[in-house]
Amino acid sequence: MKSKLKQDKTSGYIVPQDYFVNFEEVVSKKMFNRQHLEEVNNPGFKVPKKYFSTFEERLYNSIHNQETAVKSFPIFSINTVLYLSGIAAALLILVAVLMPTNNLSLDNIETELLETFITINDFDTSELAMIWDSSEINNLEFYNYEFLDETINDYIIDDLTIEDFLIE
Amino acid sequence: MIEEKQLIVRLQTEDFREAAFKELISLYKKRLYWHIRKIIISHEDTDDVLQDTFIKIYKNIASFKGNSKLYSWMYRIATNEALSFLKKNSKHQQHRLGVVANDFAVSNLASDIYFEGSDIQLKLQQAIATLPQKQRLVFNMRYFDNIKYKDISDILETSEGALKASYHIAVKKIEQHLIHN
Repeated sequence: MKSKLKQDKTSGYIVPQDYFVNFEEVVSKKMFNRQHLEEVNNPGFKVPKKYFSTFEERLYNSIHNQETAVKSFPIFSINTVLYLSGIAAALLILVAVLMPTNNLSLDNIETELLETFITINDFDTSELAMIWDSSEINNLEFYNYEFLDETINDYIIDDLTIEDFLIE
Repeated sequence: MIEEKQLIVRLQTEDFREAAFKELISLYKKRLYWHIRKIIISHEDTDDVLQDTFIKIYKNIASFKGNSKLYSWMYRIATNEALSFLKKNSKHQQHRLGVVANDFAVSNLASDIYFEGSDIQLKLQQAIATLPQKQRLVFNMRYFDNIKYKDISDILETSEGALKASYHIAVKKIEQHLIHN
């Protein structure tokens, strides 16, 4: 055994093919990038002339325009629920006209359709939350969903990265 | 710190709100602009998001409780507005969050009249665009803005340890991207 060890003094480790051939190139490229990156202390973006000096004026115009729009068309006033219900009813009628053979109800409207409607009309969550008062929110029923292990595994494998876990 | 407290008091007092808000805008417009710009890339979209950010700040300043610094709170609003914008854009394009919207913006950077970066700056932006959204945020805030981990932690509501790990991974990925491209 000892004599065998004396004869074979290699460690048994190997390196990828051409590892040492390309080594200088890889290192010099890395050094070049590092050196240049150290000099890069800004992302290279620029802004139009007088952008910042005129920002306040444009912002106040936006606020003013929004306030005017809200005054002339109070989306979330007392009539909000009626308004949204009206649109939901209109959607139902529209779908009924297009597909007269189907049994229709609010439950049959695709979630995606409602989502698209909300997205296009640019409601944010706080505006939507204003529709309900706190007692109604407290009375909401929450459903407990049960997911198959396989579904959860698929989600973890397909949609998450190791960084997601590190950050969470 | 005392100045910030005084500013908050004025912002939350009806009579002083307008003047205090103007002060707030002039103090933070540039910092928030560059923060949003690095997420959104395009100037025009950044302008929209920055305005929406200040409008949201104005609408919600009365309910600001002071649990975090005013600066962190505003950065958080700006970050959320920028990410919501990307999400909405991606939704409209029926693609996943951030990926296509940013790829598109970055691939147009070379011809963007509001980009004057060198080749290495362009390559760096392309490398950053390959990162997952959270790593991108951490990298930009740490690398370009030199924001302390503690402050990034307040803004992103993520532990400092996780942020350090995230930054380290981002740097490695960017180095690899630069070597291979």
